[in-house]
Order: sequence, then C-alpha cells, then structure tokens
Amino acid sequence: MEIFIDIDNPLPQFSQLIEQIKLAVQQKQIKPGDPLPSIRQLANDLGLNNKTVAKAYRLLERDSVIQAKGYRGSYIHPDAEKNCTVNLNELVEEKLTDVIGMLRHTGATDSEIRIAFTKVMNSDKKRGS
Amino acid sequence: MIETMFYILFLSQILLFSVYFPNKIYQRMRYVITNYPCNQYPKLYPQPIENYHRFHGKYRLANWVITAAGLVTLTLSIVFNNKGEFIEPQVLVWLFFMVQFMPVMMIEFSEYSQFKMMRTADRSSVRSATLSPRSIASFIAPKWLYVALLTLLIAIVYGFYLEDFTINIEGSAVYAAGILLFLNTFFAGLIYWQLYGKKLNPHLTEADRQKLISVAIQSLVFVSISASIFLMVSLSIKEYQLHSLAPLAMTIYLQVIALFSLGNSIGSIKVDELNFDLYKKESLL
Repeated sequence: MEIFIDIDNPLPQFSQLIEQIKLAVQQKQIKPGDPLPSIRQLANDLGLNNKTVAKAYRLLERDSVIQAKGYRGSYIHPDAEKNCTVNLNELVEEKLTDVIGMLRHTGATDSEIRIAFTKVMNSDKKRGS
Repeated sequence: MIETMFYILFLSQILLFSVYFPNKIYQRMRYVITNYPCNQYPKLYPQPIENYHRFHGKYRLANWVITAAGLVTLTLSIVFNNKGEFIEPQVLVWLFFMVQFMPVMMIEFSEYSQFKMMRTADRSSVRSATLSPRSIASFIAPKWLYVALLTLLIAIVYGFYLEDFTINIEGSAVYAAGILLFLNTFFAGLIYWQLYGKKLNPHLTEADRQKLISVAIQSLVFVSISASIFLMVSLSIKEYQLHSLAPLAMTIYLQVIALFSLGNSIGSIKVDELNFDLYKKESLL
C-alpha cells in the first residue's frame, strides 16, 4: 500500500500524511494490528523531515488510530477504523463556533473575544508547562 | 603443482573480473540505451546521450587495459618464477584485485552522480512511500543471518584457540577479530542504509527498490560469510606453515566475493523485469 504526498499542496505535509493513513484504514487497505514503517523510513522515502512524520504519528496516536509499542514500532490501533471517523479539528471548530456565537450574543466585541482567547490559551499553556 | 594452480587461478581472476563481468555489465548498459532510448524515456537520461556513450567506451577501455596489464603481470610472474623475491604472490593478487575494482568504482560514482542529476531534474511535487515497514527478514532468510553470525563467532574463537586463548595485541587473532568486526559493522551500516536510507533514484518504484535491496543484502551477507571463512583459512595457513597455499586462498576468496557481489547482482536483476515506464515523459511520478 502506497501513500502520496504533494509538497505543493497548501495542506501541511503532516496533515496529508494523517489523512492518507486514516483513508487507508477506512478503505481497509491496512488493518488493525498491521505494523507501520518507522519514522525514519517514512521520512526518508518521502523526503520529509523526521519531525514532520513524528508529528503525524503523534497526532494519530492521540486519536487512537495508531499505537506505539516501544522499540517494536507503531501499529494500527485495534479500534482505528472507528476512531478514524472522529475528527477533532471539526469538533474544536464546532465548539468554538458555539462559544463565540454565545459571547457575541452577550455583546462582546470580536477584539475582546480574541484578547480573552489568547489570554486563556497562554495562561493554560503556562499552567501546563 | 601449487604454482601451476596459482597461475591458473590468477588467470581465472583476470578473466572473471576484467573480461567476463565487465562484458556482462557493458552489454547491459548497451541494452538499456538501445531498448530504452532517450526520446521515449527522457527521465532516464539527465545528461546528453553522448556522455553515456563516452562513459561506456571509457569503461570498456579501462577493462581492456587492466586485462592486458594482468596478462603481462602473469606472464612476468611465470617467466621470472616469482616466489616473493619481487613481491609476495598473495600481495600481488590483492593489489591487482584493487586495480580490477577501479572500473566498478567508476560505475558506482557515475551512478551516484546520475541519481543526483535525476533528483535535480525531477520537477514532480508528488512523492510516494510504502506503508509497510522494511525489515531485514523480508529480504533474506533469517537462517543466512544466523550462519553469518555463527561463522563470524567461530572465526574469532578459532583465532584465539590457535593462540591458546591468550590475548596478544600484536597477535593474529586480535588482528583477524578486528578486521572481521570492522568489516561486519561496515556491512551492517550498509544494510541499514539500504533499508532505511534516502531513495537515491527519485523515480524508482517500491517493487524495484525491494528487488535491489534484496540483492544488495544477500550479497553483503554472503560476502560476510566468505570473509569469516577466508580469515579462518588464512589463520590455519599461518599456523600450519602452509605459506605456499596463501596466494591460492587469496585468489579463490577474491573470486568468491566477486561471484557473490557482481555475479549475484547481474544474475538476479533482469533489466526487463524493472519498471522503465516511470522514466517516460508522460509518467505521473
């Protein structure tokens, strides 16, 4: 099973990688338990930076589409097919649209919302670190 | 008797490495340029076509010159009955092998620069990769890896056995173990690079790449086994004072590794089985 990355595509390379792996799972071209190539192999084959592939793998792992098994490498998650349908980006967008709509309704301006959003994100990041 | 055998084997080394294999390689290069011409397969020729014809000519000439030099050396050895007064016969065999290896290096360097030019000329923004992991066991039966490891260990232990398991830094056992460990580490690096390294030819399909990796790994593993056996033979020759056999062992070893490397590549990779459609102008990749 081959995947293709278009370096001229405006979609970030790690996102193309995630989409293609998810598509391969949904089309049953790769099955739960199947091993995936190492980060280095995939990065070298595609001529990408190791960090780009690592980021895609990390996000796929977060979404439980793949699972890392230490030195043995990464494998397709047993529930990958189900988890491929969950799109966190869409979920985030949907929730934010609701919140922003509600804030606008209360009379907050876009500028106030942006400042508050940045403040919350930054304070959350500081707490996290 | 041993001398005659040596001369016959040295002649065989000259003919095998400077006539037989170079002819096969030359015919293959001509076959590609004739059957996959640059007007139909432009991606295969990043340089003007004259450069390829010139290179083929140079390659052939280099091998003719080396063959002639080899035959003169052999004749002089027979006429002057060289037994080490001028040069040790095994050293002569080794040095001549190095000279014979030069045209192979010519091809390697030319191939490397050819791939570099192909990458520069490649305008495609689409890149492909397989989603299957490559592991060494997919390219060679694990039993051969065990055989290589076992012969390496046996060769090292045998070296120390001959020296009563005493570790003498200037002894043959330490020297042989050092050479074998260095060689096998180098081979392991080459295998790793073959499996996970960057794809040099930007147009190569995964299927063809796997064929090439398979041949390269098999050659390296068989050369590793041959090297361990050769070291054991060399240590035995030294231990049992069979110096007259040393040149024979050396030339046999060199011909065996030539068969495992060049012979295996030429025999296993059939040009027509490779996918040349990717080098056509209209190819998507």
